[in-house]
Amino acid sequence: MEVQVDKIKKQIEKKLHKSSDLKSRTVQFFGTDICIMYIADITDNLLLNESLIYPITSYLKTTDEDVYTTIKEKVLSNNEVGEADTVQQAIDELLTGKTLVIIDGAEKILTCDNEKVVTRTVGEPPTSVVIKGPREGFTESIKYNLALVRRRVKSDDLVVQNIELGKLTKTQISVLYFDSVADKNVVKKIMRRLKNIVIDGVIDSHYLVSYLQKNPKSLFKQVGDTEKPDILVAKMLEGRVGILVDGSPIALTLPFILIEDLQNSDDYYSQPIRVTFVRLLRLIGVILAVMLPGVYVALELYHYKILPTEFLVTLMNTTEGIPFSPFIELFFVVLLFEILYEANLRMPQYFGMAMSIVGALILGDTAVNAGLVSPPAVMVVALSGITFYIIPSQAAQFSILRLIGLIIGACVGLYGILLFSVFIISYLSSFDSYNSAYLAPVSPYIADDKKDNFKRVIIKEMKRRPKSIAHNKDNSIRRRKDED
Amino acid sequence: MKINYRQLSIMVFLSFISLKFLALPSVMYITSGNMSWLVALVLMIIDGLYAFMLVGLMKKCKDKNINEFLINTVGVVLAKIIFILLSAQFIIQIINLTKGLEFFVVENFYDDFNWLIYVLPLIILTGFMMYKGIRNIARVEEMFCWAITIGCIYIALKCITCTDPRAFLPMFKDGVAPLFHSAFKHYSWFGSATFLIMLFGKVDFTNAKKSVLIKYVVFAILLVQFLYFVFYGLFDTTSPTHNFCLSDVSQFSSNESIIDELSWLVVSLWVIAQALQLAVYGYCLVLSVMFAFNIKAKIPVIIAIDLLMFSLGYIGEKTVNFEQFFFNPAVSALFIFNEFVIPFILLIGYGVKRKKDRRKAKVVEDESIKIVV
Amino acid sequence: MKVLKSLFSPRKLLIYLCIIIFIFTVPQITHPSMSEREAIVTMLCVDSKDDKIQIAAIALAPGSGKDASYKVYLGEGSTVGEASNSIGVALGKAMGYAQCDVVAFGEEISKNSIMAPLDYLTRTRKVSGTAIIINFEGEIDKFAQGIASLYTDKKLHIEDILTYDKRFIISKECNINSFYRGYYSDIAQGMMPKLSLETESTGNAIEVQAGDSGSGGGSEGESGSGGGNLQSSGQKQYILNDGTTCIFKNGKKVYEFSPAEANKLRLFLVRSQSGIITVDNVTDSTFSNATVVLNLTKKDVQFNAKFEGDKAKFKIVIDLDVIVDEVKEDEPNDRFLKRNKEFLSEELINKIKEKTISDCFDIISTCREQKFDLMQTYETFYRYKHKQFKEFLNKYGDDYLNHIDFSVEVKVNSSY
Repeated sequence: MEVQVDKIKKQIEKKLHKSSDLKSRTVQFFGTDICIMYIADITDNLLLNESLIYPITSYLKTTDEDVYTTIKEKVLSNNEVGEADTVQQAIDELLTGKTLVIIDGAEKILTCDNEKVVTRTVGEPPTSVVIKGPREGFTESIKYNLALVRRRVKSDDLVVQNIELGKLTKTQISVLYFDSVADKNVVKKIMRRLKNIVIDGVIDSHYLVSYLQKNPKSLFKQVGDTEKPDILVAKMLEGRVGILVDGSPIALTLPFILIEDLQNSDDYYSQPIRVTFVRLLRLIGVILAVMLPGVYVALELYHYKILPTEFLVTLMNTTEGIPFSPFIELFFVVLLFEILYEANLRMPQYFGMAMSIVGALILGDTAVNAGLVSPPAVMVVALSGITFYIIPSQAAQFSILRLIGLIIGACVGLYGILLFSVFIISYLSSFDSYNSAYLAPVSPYIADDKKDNFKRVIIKEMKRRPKSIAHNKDNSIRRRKDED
Repeated sequence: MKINYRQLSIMVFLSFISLKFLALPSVMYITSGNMSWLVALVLMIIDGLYAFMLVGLMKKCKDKNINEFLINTVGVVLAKIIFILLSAQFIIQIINLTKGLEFFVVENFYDDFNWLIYVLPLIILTGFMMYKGIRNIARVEEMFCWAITIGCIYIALKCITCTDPRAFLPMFKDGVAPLFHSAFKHYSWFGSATFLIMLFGKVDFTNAKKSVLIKYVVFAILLVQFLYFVFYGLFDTTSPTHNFCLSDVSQFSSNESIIDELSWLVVSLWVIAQALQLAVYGYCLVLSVMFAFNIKAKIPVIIAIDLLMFSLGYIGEKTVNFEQFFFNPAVSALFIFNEFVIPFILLIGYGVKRKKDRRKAKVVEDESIKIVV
Repeated sequence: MKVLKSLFSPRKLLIYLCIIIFIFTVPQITHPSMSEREAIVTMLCVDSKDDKIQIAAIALAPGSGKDASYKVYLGEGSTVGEASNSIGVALGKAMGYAQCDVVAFGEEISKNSIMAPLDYLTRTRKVSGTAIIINFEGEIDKFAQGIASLYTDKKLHIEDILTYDKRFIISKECNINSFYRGYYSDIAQGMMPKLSLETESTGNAIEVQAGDSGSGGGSEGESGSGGGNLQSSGQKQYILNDGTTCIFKNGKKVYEFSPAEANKLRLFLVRSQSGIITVDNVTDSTFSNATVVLNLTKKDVQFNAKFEGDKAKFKIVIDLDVIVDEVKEDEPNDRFLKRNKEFLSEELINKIKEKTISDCFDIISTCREQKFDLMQTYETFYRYKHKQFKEFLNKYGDDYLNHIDFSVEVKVNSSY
């Protein structure tokens, strides 16, 4: 390609539909026209002036070399100077925030990195608040996010593989893993799946989820996610692969197993006994969240004989005069809860508090006083609703399961709920992906992983990487005995 | 899609205990009185030995499934006959489990019982698990195994102080004849290891500890004996009137006048154990029918088996006296044949095949020596 | 074929089945709760009159807060099922017996046989085997109302009254399970405590105001028989629980132990571990002509059966841990400074032994007379000396108790 400034400038302007934010400036360098093109809002003006325009315009030395080489090697003070062989390549670079230096008569176009990173500051993510431990969270800038990871990992073992996805958005995707730890087959599989994605745009990391999971239509989560670099690094140390997407503060991790959601980053910064207790609480919470309304309706409709007489008396006294059947009553309360939740979530923050009061106190209390619903029904749904958020990342799934559980409890009773629980486990058992069993280390039972499943031992004793997660078998040991 | 050795052992464990805690101790008492525990013990030991033998053979034949193994060793015709016999046994075991579970659910959970509501969810669950395969079933069993076991132990321990060990005296008051009679009559409740035949080639024996299976079998026998000790110790001569060993034991307590809620939870878990065992037998039946009739598609067989479960309950209830059906000598004879004769056919077939292979190898070796010479 | 295959894919089959279940269960999910569909019976009284079975069901009725109120429903029929049905028809509700923890049998039905109603209740109506069974005296409607008002006003339940001390009371032995176990044994006997509705207060009576607003009244029942307001007659009613114990043989009531006899009977019962022993005329280094009341803190009973030649010998060994509870003496002395152990002199121990042995033989002679076996004689011989006992039974039949040599050995220890 022989570069002619005017021609190329026109080509680029035409390609970008004479976009208003496309700026250019033509300067003379020892008689040669040089056009500098950039997109205004994503280019750092100060950097552009200091590293590009000023050096070109103030360069006085003459040289035997051609203008292209002189500018590339002696004039430009940018840290990253690249070359584009074609106009299309140059446009692609321009759109990522690079500045084009088009030199008349040259064979290539120079690209300089003057990108202005527009992002919020690093803060504590609202979905992963911790009492103890790091509070840094990912932002929407992949550069910042990579920096946060790199800051924690000073090792040549960390591999970052970048690919670009989205025909229109051309979003940068970074796949991160430890070379000596991650299972190469898993990495290959992930890369293959990512490369096969054909999509016009990737707005958030969750756009990739359905492409990465085995059962994309399933209700259950099959790809892990985190907003915190410390969690991402910890997961990568166990053999997982992390995926960062530009524009998304959420990193994806693979393989994912169900027990991950019972574990919290806080767990590793607290006392093991407390952690074991809390994890058991979470497990009970899950069961309560999903099954409680169904069990309550089943007891009311079919199995009151299980209840002790004293409890039955209280139940009878409180449900007396309710015009609806127990199922309709519970269904109504569950629906009310879901509506309140959804409204609260989307409502501006200053409305939120008022909404909670209206929903929880006024609406609930009035419904009970009006005799539309009974206090036990409100209590059951409230308890189940609260326990959802013991594992916030699964709340959406629990909500649907609760509704199914409620219907089954009403249709079939306790027997149905028992079979439903077996069905869920059976369904989840078939979710193996990326060489890891979804319900491991419980089913299949992996004895070595009992150190960090429902209980947690002290970190010193966790000498091996969990076998539940597929990783490089030759590098299973985190710490040898002689390293004690 | 293989299961590991531990999962196999758990499947054996649950299979050993699954039919034993419903009507069996009650109906056995009628024939063998207070020595029924001994009948159960002996038959379970036989089941255990059978399980060890089959697992040993399984290891030998490595990746071959039972169809390939039988065709290679005993021939196609005998293989088909064996599959048909096994299918018959699995059908009977499915009926026994389904009916047992039905009575258990009716008795313990519902006042106005709708049979459709009982059978349809069961069909969905077992059909789904059969479709998903043995690894899925094994994993679910692994998940619930300990909850079920702890539940059974809890129920037995709760009432152990009320048991009267004198219930087991006098021993052999009518001699040993009633015990043999009882063993034959109730054989259809045993034969718990036969399903292992269908798992040839589906078990991964890498890193398998031999002692695991022994531990689970011994534990199953001890658990059954423990619960029988409590059951007979509590109810003694009234045992025949208590049709549901587990739930009746859980509700027996002279120290409490209300039903213990935790016991209900445990009794509920038993429903899960039964459903899982049903899935195991269902899966084995699917395989044996597929092998027997050379059917390649799995789904039609699963649908047929589900329909069978459905129709047996619906039509069979009115035409067949199931309680008498299980005591039928022909049923016992079938189970005894499957448990005592089939393994020996497998063993002999395996031995003959091995000899043939060796002879062949020797001939080839001799011929190659000749060529070299 | 492709269309057929897609119609019957596993996922679709699953959906079809779920839809079928839903269709079949839609009517069910709109049902009111079971407690509204059934009358929740917590106690059932059964009696017979003129060849008719009468039942009085004490059922829960909604109240406020955590307090329950109880109503009495009366029914009559030729069988318990019919009587129960008649109440159900009148109420428009099924009778739910799952929470029934006490079943009371009247005098009349107890004499005829309680086995048919008991079988109906446990087998068909699913009354739990842990439900207590009692015998009652008096008219069924008044007794039921008395109990209902006891439940509603005093918040006191029969099972609480009967089992207030699990070591002491005979009724602990008397739930349906243990009654059945006795009935299905070769001697076919069982026992149960007796409660009665009295008009005057005696001993262990609990006052009730029968027929007040909480009890509901007999008109709730189908038959509407009885259930008058007793308060209007100016009489106060009492539920009397004095320890009277009834003995049943083949499901029929054959004997009634008075409270004093029942106290003696406890000495044989393995589970009954406490009680009171009163010895008179104790004179030793501490007491002079005193009446000493001893509290039984622990008791261990062992039975020993053997044959010596043709003779059957039965030994009862009773090990008692006692503590001196109360002393009645004309002239008090300095004994309050003594420790309990020092009270148990040789003389007092002998007196206790004498008293216990004599009490035991009183019961043994009653049993011999009435031909029932409360000392577990049959059970012990049957279990341990089966063959010889079989011959012995062939020889003496029902009269076997009169041919067994009984001996009682008592050991007395101080509690601390």
